[in-house]
Amino acid sequence: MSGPIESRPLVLRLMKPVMWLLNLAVASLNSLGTLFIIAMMTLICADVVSRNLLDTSLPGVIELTELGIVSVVFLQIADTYRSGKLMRSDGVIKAIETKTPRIGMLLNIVFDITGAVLFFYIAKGGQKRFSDAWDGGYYLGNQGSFTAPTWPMELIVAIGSSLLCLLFFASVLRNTGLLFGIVPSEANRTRGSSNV
Amino acid sequence: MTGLETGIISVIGILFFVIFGMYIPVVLALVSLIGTWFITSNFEIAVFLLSQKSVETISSQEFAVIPLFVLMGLLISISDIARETFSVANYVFRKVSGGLGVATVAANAIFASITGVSIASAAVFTRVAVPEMLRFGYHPRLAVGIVAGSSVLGMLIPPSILLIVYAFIAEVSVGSLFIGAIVPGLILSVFYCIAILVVGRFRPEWVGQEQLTASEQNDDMNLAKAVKLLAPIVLLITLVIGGIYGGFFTPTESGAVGAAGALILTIARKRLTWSTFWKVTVETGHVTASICFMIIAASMYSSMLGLSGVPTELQQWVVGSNFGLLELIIAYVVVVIILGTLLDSISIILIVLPIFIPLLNHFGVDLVWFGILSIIVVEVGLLTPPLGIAVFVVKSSLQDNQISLKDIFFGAMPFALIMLIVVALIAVFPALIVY
Repeated sequence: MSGPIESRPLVLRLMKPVMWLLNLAVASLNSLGTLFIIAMMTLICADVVSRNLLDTSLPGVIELTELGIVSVVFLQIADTYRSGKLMRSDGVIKAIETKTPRIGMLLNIVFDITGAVLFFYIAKGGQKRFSDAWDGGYYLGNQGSFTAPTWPMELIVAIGSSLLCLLFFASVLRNTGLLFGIVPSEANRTRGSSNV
Repeated sequence: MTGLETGIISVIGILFFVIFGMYIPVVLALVSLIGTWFITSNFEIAVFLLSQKSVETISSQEFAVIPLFVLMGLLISISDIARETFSVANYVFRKVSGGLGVATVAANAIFASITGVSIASAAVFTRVAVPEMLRFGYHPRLAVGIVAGSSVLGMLIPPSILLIVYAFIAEVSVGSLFIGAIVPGLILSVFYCIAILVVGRFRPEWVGQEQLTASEQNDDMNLAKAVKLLAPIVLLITLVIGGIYGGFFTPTESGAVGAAGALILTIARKRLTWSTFWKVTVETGHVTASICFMIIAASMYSSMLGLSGVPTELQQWVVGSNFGLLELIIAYVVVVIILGTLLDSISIILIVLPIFIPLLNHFGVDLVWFGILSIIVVEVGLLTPPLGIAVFVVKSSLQDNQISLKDIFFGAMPFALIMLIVVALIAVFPALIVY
């Protein structure tokens, strides 16, 4: 174990509640996304049944599924990274991590920085798309039969990618801390689990 | 810098970072962001295109097919259907020398028509079929080889996530790809069975003395029970594949019906609690987000390539160098097999296809045919060292530590060769797919 907690810099003491909040946000988005998947399945099945038995399509199913799938992806993307399911080819990096842990850490820091940069720009663009959709009152569907506003989906895109950007950034901070021995490594063994 | 150079540099750069373990969608999207920035010399536009692509690529009802088929597959995986299908297949082939092996292939083929991922079947059948084959005296390499080899059927026989990903990248319909994959999937399964029967005929000691013990093997299985176990599965296959084939459902609808059917089946077998249902759906979300983001990134990458003019220049280069279609396809197969030793199936498809598809359009190639060919070639990579994912899954699900990774790679080798034979067959007789 490292020295007494009070001797740690303020930033490190603040990290804990900040990470708790971030994880809570990611987990809530993930739950919402899970509900969306179940809702999409139910909605499409209802449409199939109604079309074959009652001979009428349900209005809005196509539009809602379209908004739904984008929402599911961005509601889940942060939690996907957190649970280690974001796609990477990990054969080489795992070998490096076991042979020379410090180089492995350094590589992971570089990779997480690139992730943070990418999702920063996706979030930035997403923010603009959200305000355009909000101000312009964009919608899907046809006036008169069914319309659904697109701003909730755009908001989800902006929030989801912002959270992932923050997760990448947190991982950069933690790995940098580990690399320079500022953060005790015991507390950080649980890589990929809920307490990042 | 010419377009050709841009293309080559971007591909080499991408492969370098991907192999060292950078997140694949991040690599593809960042390369596209930077590439677009250089081509348009306007960073604002590049960022705008980035965010536009991240939403609009997947903003279509068709993409809902991904979570629905993933959910269906995961539900099926927890429902013990693989084990039951295996015991039914076992009952059917109990009198054949090599019957257990044939039963494994058959059960895999049936399981594949209700799930879409190879890895799931590799794990399940390693636990179910390998101990059984070893008990009856199969050569360990043959036993694990059969399981690793036939696990690739999961990605070939529809529904299949790999086929769906290909469909989105090549812009062909998911439905026609599914239908096109049925016959090649069956051919591959039959070839596997023939190979096992040939082994049983000429090397009976490799498939044990199961004939002697066949009577005690299925003491609790009879025809009525077999029919009862198989009926709901057949119904589900008919609903999902038949629904698409007959034009009753779009693939998305068929996915929703399939997922609901799998849900009912799993509940009926008392395999589902609220917490497992939640876990399965969360995992569905992870797989969906991961795959969709790969597709988004690949589509950014291919539109960046389009902007840079690489496809046109490559086309001119191919035309100028008198390359025929056959040479092109052979080159493609070789490249994919080499990449397959290091990368997973979806990554290969997403990195290589944006370059090859424009070339194929020049030759007027049928992209459904090419898709099936690609899927089988890509899947060879699941079985080849050093990084054959199916082999690793088999190894990690094995209870028997005596069987080494090397044994599994050796055992899987003949099956990888059979896959290549089927590829050649499809290349020579396109009518097998495009009928």
